[in-house]
Amino acid sequence: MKKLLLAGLILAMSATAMATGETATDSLTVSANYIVPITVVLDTTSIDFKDVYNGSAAEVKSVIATLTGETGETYSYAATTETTGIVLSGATGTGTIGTNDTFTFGIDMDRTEGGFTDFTDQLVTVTVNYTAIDDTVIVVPTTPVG
Amino acid sequence: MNKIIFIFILLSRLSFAVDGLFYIEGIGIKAISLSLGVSSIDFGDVLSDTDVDPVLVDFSVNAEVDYYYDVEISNDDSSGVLQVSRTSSGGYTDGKLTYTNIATGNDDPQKFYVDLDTGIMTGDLSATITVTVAYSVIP
Repeated sequence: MKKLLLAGLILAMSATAMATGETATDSLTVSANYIVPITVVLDTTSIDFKDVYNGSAAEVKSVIATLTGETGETYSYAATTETTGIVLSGATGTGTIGTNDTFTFGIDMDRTEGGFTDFTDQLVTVTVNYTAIDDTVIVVPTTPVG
Repeated sequence: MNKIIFIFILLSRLSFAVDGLFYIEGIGIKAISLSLGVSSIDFGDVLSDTDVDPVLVDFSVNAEVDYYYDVEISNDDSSGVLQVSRTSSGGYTDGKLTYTNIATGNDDPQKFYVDLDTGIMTGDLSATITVTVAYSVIP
């Protein structure tokens, strides 16, 4: 009877040991901070300077850009054109969403002699980018030393 | 007199007892073990519909040589943003990855990739990926 009990005990211990060694599990965490895409809306869709005289006084047209995006994120902006004769002022800068949700830049014509030739429908492009987007960070397990 | 009769009966019972024999066999199999090479991935700031680079997660499995084992890679993200694949270039799924391997008896290097489906992302992500390995068949 003792032998039987002993054998049963050994079998039970063996089964338990096998069950704990049959599987293994490990895990890692994954996270990401969702950022609201930045958008820009201009208060001006077109400017017509009409007739421009050489040497005439500057007549800067202000354009206001309004931004929406992730509060607290910093941004930079740039207004550009490929058209010779269009003069931009205050065309670059930086700000923070929530603090500086608008910026203003100016557009005028090059009023010097031969500063431009007649044109229509030339584009001024405003580009706004987040400047402090956190990159991916990968953490590997540390190995105890000693 | 009654006591004498009782002892006699008890001894006679024991004298007719039959011993039972049985054999115990066992094969020593090492416990399967798993070690992940990455403990956390923080994709940082992510905008919707933007590309993020897949992150390689390497891990090793050590099991008894020539024994098959199953690998299951699962996650608890219900949004479908978290994607995993065994190759970096495609085959991503927001569900489980499962496959079977045969052990060499050493640390078998394996890997999978983690990516994000930013097109459906509308909020922060916080998830756990769990890797489970188990012997396929124990005789």
